[in-house]
This record gives sequence, C-alpha cells and structure tokens, in this order.
Amino acid sequence: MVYGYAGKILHIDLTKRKIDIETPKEEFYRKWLGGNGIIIKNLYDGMNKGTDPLSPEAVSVFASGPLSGTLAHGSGRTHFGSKSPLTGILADSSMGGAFSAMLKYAGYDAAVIKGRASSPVMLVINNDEVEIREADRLWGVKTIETQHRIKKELTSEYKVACIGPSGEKLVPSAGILSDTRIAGRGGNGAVWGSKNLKAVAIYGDKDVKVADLEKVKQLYKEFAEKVNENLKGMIKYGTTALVMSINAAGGYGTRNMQEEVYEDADKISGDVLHDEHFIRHRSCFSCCLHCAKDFKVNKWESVSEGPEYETLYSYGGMVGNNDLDYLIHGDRISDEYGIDTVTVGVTISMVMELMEKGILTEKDTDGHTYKFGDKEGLIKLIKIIAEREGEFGELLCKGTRALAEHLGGDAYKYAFHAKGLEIPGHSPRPLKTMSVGYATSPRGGSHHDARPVDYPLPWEQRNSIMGKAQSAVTTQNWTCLGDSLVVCHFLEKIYGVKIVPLHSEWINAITGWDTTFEEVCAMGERIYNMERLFTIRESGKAREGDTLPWRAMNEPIPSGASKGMYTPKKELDAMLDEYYDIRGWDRKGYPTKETLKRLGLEEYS
Amino acid sequence: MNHIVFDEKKCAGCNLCELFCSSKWYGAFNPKKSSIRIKPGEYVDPKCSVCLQCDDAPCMEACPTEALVVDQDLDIVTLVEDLCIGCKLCVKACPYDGMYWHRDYKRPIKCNLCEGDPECVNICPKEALKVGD
Repeated sequence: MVYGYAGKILHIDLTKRKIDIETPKEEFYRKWLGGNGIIIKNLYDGMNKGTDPLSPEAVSVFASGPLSGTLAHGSGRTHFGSKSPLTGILADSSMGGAFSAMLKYAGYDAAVIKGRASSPVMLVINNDEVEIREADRLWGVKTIETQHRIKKELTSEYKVACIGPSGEKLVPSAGILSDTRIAGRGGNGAVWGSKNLKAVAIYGDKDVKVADLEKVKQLYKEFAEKVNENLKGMIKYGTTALVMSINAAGGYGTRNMQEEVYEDADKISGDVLHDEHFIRHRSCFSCCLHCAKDFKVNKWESVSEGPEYETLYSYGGMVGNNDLDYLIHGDRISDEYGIDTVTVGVTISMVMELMEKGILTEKDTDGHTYKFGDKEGLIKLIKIIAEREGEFGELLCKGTRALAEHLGGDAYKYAFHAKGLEIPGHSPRPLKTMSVGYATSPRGGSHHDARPVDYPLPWEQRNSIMGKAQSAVTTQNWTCLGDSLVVCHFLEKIYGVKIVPLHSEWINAITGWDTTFEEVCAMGERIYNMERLFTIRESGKAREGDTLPWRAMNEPIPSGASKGMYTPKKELDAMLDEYYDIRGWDRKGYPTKETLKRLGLEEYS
Repeated sequence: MNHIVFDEKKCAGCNLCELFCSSKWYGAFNPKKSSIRIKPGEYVDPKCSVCLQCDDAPCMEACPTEALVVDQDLDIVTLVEDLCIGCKLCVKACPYDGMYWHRDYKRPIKCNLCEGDPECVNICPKEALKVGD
C-alpha cells in the first residue's frame, strides 16, 4: 500500500454491466500521481484515435489524488475527464465539494467508465460493494432534486454526482454536478448522458492514512495561518471581488468583448452581492478558505451557490446584464440543468452581437430580438440551450465555433473561443500570458491551464511579450501538478503560481516517497505533455491549432486601463516559437522524441 | 456539563474538525471515526452532531456495565474503555445522534473534549465551535 492512496481504480463497462478493479503498482502512482494524470493516461490508452466522444467506446474518468481525503487545502476537488463533445479534444473539468474525498474513503482513487447502458442507470458505491442500478425514474429530473431523491433512497450520508436534463440531451457543454458544485467545462455531462449514466453515489468509511501525520498537520497549520493573514478579501467576497478589480485593469469582457470595461460593473460587484444578496459562506471539504457563498435573488424566491466570478462575467458584462437578480437566477437554473455558464454565456453574447450586426435576424431565432442588456432574453436563451429546444436551441447548444461555422461569412469574428472552448473572464488581450496560454492549452479556452498572472504589471510590461511564454509554461506545469494532487488552484495565492519545494514536502509527507523538487516539476510537465499528445492526436493539429479568436488578434481594446492592447498574429507567433523552445517541442508544436524520453513518455513518441 | 457548542451561522461546512478529530484519536483521516459530525446541505445552514455531555445522560442509563461515568474534573461524560463490552446500547440510546460506531473498533466513538483541550475548537477556521455549558 502507498500512503495517501486507496490503491484501487474502478473500471466500469456499462454495456456489459461489468465491474473490474485495477490495483496499480506504486510506479504508476509515482509517474501519474492522480487526478488529471490518471485521467489523461486512461483517456489516451483507453480510446482509439478518432473515437466519437458520445459513442459507447468513449472513456469517461473521474479521479481523486494523493491529497484527497486529507486535510490538505482544497483537496475536496474532483476531476472529470473525457474527449469533449464540444471541442473534440481533451475535456477535463473539476468541481469543488467533497465527492473525491468520499471516493477515497470508499477505497478508490479513480473510476474509468466506458460502454453504454441499455437504459438509464446509476452507479452505487458503498465501500467494497459496487452496483449498477436502474435509474429510469430519475431521467429528466434536475440535478438538485436528483441528489435529494438518491439520498432519500440510499441514505443522506452518500455523496452524489449527477447530470441534469442538459447532460441527458447530450448538450455538448453539459457538466456534472455534486452538491451545488459543477464540473462544468467541456461536456463531461454529455458523455455521461450518452452512456445513460445519470449519477454516481458514493459512501465510504475507510481510512486515508498518511506517512507522516505530524508533518501534514504542521504544513496545514502554517498554510492556514497565511490564509487568514493574506486572504481576507477572498474570505469575505470569494471570487466576486474580481469584477471590480478586473474591470479596473481593463480586462472585464463586455458585450462579447467589444469592450473590456463595463460601465455598470459597480452594479454587479462583490460589494453589492455581499451587502444585498449574501446568505452564508460555503466551503469545499477540507478547506479553510471557504470562498464560496450562497446568494439570494431578491425579486423572487431563488438561491444559488455563486455566481462565481466567471458567471459574473459570462452572464454579466458579456451580455450587458447589470441586474444581479437575473444573474443569480441564471446561475441557479444552469446548475439545475447541469450546464456550463461560460460556454452558454459567451454563446449568448455572440448571438446578441450577431443580431446587433444584422448577421442573425428574428427569422433565424425564435422570433425574438436578443439585445445586450436583455435580461429576460438571457434567461430565455439559457433555457433554450439547456433544453436543446427547437432548431435555434440545436444550433446554439454547440457553442460559438459551431455557430460561426454554420453562419459562415464574418461570423467567425464574433466567436470568442480557443480550440472550440469559450474563453472565460481573463481576457487574452490585456494578459499576454493568457494569450499564449489559451493558444497552447490542450483543452482550449480554459483559465486553469495557464494562469492570469499579468494583472499586477504596469501597461508597458503587460503589453510586452517578454517572458510571457515562460510564464505560460511555468503556470501550466503548476496547474497540471495541482490538478493531479488534487488541490485547489487558490493554493497558489499562498505558495505562488508555480511548482515550489513545498509541493514535494506535501507529497512526501503524505506518500512517504522521497520526491525531489525536480521530480515534482517533471510530474507536472509530463502530464501536460501527455495532454498535448492527446489533443494533437484527436484534433490532427499542432501549431495550426494553437491560435486565438479573431478579435483578440485583430482588434485593440478600445478603452480603459488596457486601451490599445491586443495580440497580433506576429506577436503570437513569436511567443509560440519561444514557448515551443522552452517546452522542448519542435517549431511545428510537436513534443520532440528527446523531450518525451526525458519525461518517461518514449512509448508515445 | 461542558460540551462543544456549535454556531450554524458561522460554520461553512469544511469538515476540518472531523479530520483533526479522527487523526488525533485514530491516526487516520476518516470522518466516520470522528466524534463530531458536520453535515453541509444544499442552500441551507450546516448541521452538527456531537456528544452534548447531558446532565441526565441517556447513554449512561442505557449502559449495562456503568462504563459511562461523569468525570468531575473535566465536567463531562466519559467512557471507561476497560468496562465497555461494546454492546452499542449507548449509541442507540443517544437522542442527539452524538455517539457513533465504526466497525474497526469494539467501542463507541464519543467526544471527550480532547481531555480538556478540544482539537476541533482550536482548528475551526470559522470559530464556529467553542466549549460551553
């Protein structure tokens, strides 16, 4: 047994209704760690090139890491991975909560699911007992109600992850939800839907043992003290405070990125949320930061955990909505349907601009004219997409890239995505690290690969490409490590946005290994390269896929603190050259044989 | 008597109390070996279950071997492990869901206020736990 791990991975074949248990060797864990590492290894090896993400042959994985179930900060996060039905490349997405901790307490590090059940099912894991049970009665039921019904049927001690109606209808941006947390991005929920998998319920009462308990407690206490000293704003506001600070930095996407300063940001700020809508603080399992908040709608009866900053961007500035009641309500109904608010909000903002430009007309929609600031229209479109309703819903649910391809002409100029995944609220134009970061991300427009570290820099330094390729590599390697440990990225507010020797101290205290800082750095880099190989294999593209939305490369920001900034193609190309050199990839964007060998990936060269 | 007092308005539901409790007394992270249990819910305040150290404790009345006794110094109900026969009657008798059973042990899991210096109170990041009468 390796300390920190359960030592078992579940393999579920829903077609054959067969359950197998793999007991990986220690070398496997030391090479792939957990979370994203276990996910990408199983996705790459478990599927043939070109597998349809919604076919029975597609693989879907959820995973914990060696830190899950311990008192490591934010270790309640769970990672889900599949080939994305939205983008055709890697979809990995994580959620907070306690699901992965319960998975570990039940005695498993991860579950690898393939096949397709002949009718709706749920997976019930009670320690050593693993069953596939019928779930017809839950099909069509929204996410919160689904969890309540399952807990009533089993016991309330279970942790449940499930899909909502959007996942069942194979909406390509459908996510998986547990408690009130969603692994929203990339369509993992649609993959579950295609497998007729409505939910997974877990109960476990086994130990998670660590090699050096006193050291783990010491690391925790040192960390918690710093959280209390340094993150008072985060504790009070969560991520909502970012609306005002990012707006002030001139990077808050507004009206589908036509601007990056929103004149009504102060109406949807962290302060207004705190003063007029706050109900309570919420925490993920094993986290002393408790950054989540429950907010209430004042106009009618509705409560949501969140919105977090990303939804305050996508259902706020991006669609020109300054009404928090509609924003909170939109967040709640998105969770109920089980759908990604970033992809949905950015798609709606594109619709609004296309109507403004006359590219889309009432004849193309459901007869409604959707304008920026139309808050009733926002709620209506969320439901149309989540329900995949009618021809318009069918068109919109596939996201901005598909919408642009369908319309042709200039429509692509208004599609704000990277590799088909809509870009969240850390704009590439004022943040060059994010420009090269989004372009090279193995899953596209995700702000959890490269991280937005450029905000504090003065205009000249932010607008310069100097050092930004290195910054993207450093932050991407860290997020890959963090997503494999598994810990929340907000750890970086204390340890820095990079891999540091403290990460190997955590790993060693928990596992009993003697990893060095260099070995831990290689873990992050290895997993990142493996994700790159998967995305190249499935998209057939390397450098030619590493690009940005048209607007980010062609239109300077018109006003605000980042006025004039954008990333023209020649700048992106220069950063890509530098980036590939740092990574040890060739200039076409492929990892070289030497690099793969150095990382122990020679079998994939 | 002295017992853990819970403030549902302060608790954010992180369950760190459970992890510190189980690791202190059983050497492992396992919420089902913790003598304090926090249950966060969707859109509602968390709930806490822990021994309330009752004055007229139903567990003491139920115990056939008088293994549950009042510790006058700490002002709590305490378990004399040598006298306990593991019959679980105390767990069933507790009306507050404040005593627990885990299959790894032959004794109930019950809060003893960490013999006067409760770990959960010390580490709670939200100061939602305190010792009160």
